[in-house]
Amino acid sequence: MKVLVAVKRVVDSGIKVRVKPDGIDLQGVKMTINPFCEIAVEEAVRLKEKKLIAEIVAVTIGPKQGAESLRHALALGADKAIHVTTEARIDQAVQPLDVANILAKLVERDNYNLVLMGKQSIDDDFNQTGQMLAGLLDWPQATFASNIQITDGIAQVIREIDGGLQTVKFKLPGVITCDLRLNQPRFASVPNIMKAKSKPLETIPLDKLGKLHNSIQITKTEAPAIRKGGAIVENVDVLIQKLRNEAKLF
Amino acid sequence: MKKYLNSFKQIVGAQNMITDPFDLKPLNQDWQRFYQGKSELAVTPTSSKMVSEILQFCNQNNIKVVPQGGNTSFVGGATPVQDELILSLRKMNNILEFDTTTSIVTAESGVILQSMNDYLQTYRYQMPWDLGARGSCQLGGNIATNAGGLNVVRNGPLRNYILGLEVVLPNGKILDLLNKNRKDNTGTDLKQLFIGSEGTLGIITKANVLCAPIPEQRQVFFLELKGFDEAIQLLRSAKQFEQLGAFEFMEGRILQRCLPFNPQLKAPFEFKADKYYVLIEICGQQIELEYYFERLLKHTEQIVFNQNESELQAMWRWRESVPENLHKMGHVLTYDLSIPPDKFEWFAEEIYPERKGPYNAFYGHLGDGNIHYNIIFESVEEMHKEQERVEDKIIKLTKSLNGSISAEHGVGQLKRHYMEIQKGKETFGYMQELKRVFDPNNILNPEKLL
Repeated sequence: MKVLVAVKRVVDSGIKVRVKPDGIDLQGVKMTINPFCEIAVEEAVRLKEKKLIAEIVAVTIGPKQGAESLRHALALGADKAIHVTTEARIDQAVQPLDVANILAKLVERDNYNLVLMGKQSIDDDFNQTGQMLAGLLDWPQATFASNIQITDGIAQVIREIDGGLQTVKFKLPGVITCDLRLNQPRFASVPNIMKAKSKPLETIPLDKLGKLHNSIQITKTEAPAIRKGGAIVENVDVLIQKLRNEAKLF
Repeated sequence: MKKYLNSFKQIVGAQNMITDPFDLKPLNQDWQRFYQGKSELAVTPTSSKMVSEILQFCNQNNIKVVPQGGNTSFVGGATPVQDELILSLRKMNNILEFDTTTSIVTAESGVILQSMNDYLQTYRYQMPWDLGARGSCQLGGNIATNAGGLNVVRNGPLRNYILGLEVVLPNGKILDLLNKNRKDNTGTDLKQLFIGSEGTLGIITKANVLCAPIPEQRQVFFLELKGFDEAIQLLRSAKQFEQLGAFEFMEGRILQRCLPFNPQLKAPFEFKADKYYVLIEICGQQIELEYYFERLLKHTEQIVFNQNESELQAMWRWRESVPENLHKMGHVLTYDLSIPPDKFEWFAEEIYPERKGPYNAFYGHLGDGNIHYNIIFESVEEMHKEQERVEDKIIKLTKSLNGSISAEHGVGQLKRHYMEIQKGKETFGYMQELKRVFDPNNILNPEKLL
C-alpha cells in the first residue's frame, strides 16, 4: 500500500509573529512543518512500522526552503518526497482548492491507496483541503482523526466531533485528515536526517500540475486587540453596573 | 517586634507592612519547606531611602533583618531563622533605563529575572545568566548569591556582568558603587564583596548589568550515551565548539523515573536507567548543522535534535523539571558541589558503592564541573538518620578533591557549619572580619553563611 502525506511549511508556532499591513512578516522568521501535518507523517510511519503500508511519499508545495520540511518528513520515516515548487506566498496564495487539484493530479499519476494530511494549517486554518481532495477524487474521507486502524483494505477512523467521538469505516482508497490527539510525533534523529539526504526527492514546477487562481483575496490582516486588564469590584451592585454600562451585556 | 510596630509605621507606612500570620507564612518558609522562620513582621520598602531608614533604625535598636527577594533559595538563605524582620525587595521592581550603545541595564533589585528578559527582548538583549527559578527570583537575590545557572558555560559567571551596585549598609548608609564603565582599574573593587555575600554585608538596591545579545539561532541536541566516560569524551569535544551554549548532564536512572511525572511531554528517548543523557545547546548566528552532526556522530548515533521551538522547549523541560520531580519521588537530600567533571560518577560510587543503598542520582552542569548529587528517602526519619553519616562523607570527599561544597546555591543556613572546613581557618577569619567591618552589630541575615 502506498500513502501520500501532504505537508505544509508554516511559521513556527512557538515564535511571536509580527503583523504587517500585507500579512504576517515572514522575513527571517523560523518556519517548520505544520503541527497537524507532522502528526500525519508520524501516523504514516507508525502504519508502516505495523507493516500495514509499504511506502510513504511526502509532498509539499512551496519555495526552495520547502525541501527542509520534506527532509524532516524523510527523517521521521517517509521513503520518498515530492517538492512542487512555486515562489508564491504559501500562507496566502497557495489555497485549498488549488492544492487539492494538484494533489489529485499526483494521486492519479502515482496511484496512492491513502492520502494523509493535517486537518488544517495553523496559518490560514482553512480546514478544507482534505475534504476538497476527497471530493475531486470521489473518494471517501474521514476528518479530525484521533485514531486510525487499517485491516484488509478497510480503514476505521475515530473522528473528534463536537458531540464526542464518531467512528467511521470505509474501503480504501480514501482521504484522512489528522487531529491533535492522533499521536505525538517523534523527534528526528541526526542519523536519520543524514539518511534523508539520499532518499529520492522529486522536484516538479507547480505549473506542470496545476495553477494558483488566488480566488480568495486577503483584504486585511491585523493583530488581535490588546486585552484590557480586568478589575476587582467592591460589591454586586458595582458588578451589575459595569456589566450593563461598560461590557454592555444587557 | 510588637513594640516597634509604630516606629516602622512611621518609616514605611502601614501599606508597606505585613503582620497577618497568614500572609507571613510563605515568607517565613523556604520553597523546599526545610526551614520555618518565626517572623512577625515583613516590610516592603519602595525606595532605597526607605531601606536606608529601616536599616538605620534596626541598627540602632539591634533588630535583626533578613533581606528577601524571590525566596527561591536552596539553602534557607532568604528566610528568618528566628523572628528577624523580613525586608522584602519585591516593591522595588522598576527597570530604570537601558543604554542601547553599551547594552547596560539599570534596575532596582526587586525586578524578577523573567521580567528583566521581557523588557530587554524589545532591544534584542537578554540577561547574561539564566536559571530555572526565573519566574520568581529577583535581581538582588541573584547578585547576592552570584547565581550560577544554565548559561555559565557560555557566558561565564554572573560577576562578569555586574558593572555597578547600589548597596544599603547595615548602618543605613547608601553606598553608591553604580559604576557603568566596562573598565575601571581604580583600586579595590568593593562591589565584588557584596556579590555572593548572601545579604550579610549589605542590601543591594540597584544594579547596572551588562546584557548579552539574544542569540539569533538556538539548536538543542539530546544525546544518549552508554557510559559516563562517553559523556566526558563528549564534553572534551564540545568545549571546542565556539557556539556552545549549554552542556547539561542527566543520569538515565533519574530521567527514567521522571517519565511518569511528565506524561504529556515529548521525550527525546525512551529513557533507560543504565544510560546517560546529555543536552547540548548551540547558539549563535548561522548555525551550520552539518558541522555539529559530523562531530557529535563520532560519539554516538543516538542523537535527536529539535525541528522547531516547541521541541526545543520540550527538551529543556526534561532537564529543568528534574529538581521538582525528584522532590515528588520522596524526601530529597541534595548536594550542589563543584568537583572535577570526570570524577562525577566516581564520586557517587564512593558515597554508595555500586550505587546500593537509598536511591541516589546525579545530574547537572557537567560543562562547569557542577554536580547536583541527590539522595532520596521514603521518610523524613530515614533521611535524618542517614544525613549525618553521608553528609560528612560527602563534604570530606569534596574537600579532598579541592572542590566546593556549594557550587552555585550558596551557603545560607544549610552549609554554614562547613564554612571553616571549606575555607580554612585563615580565609574564614578574614571573611568574619569583613563582616564586622560592615555589620558590627550583626543585624543583617544573622546565622547565615558565616
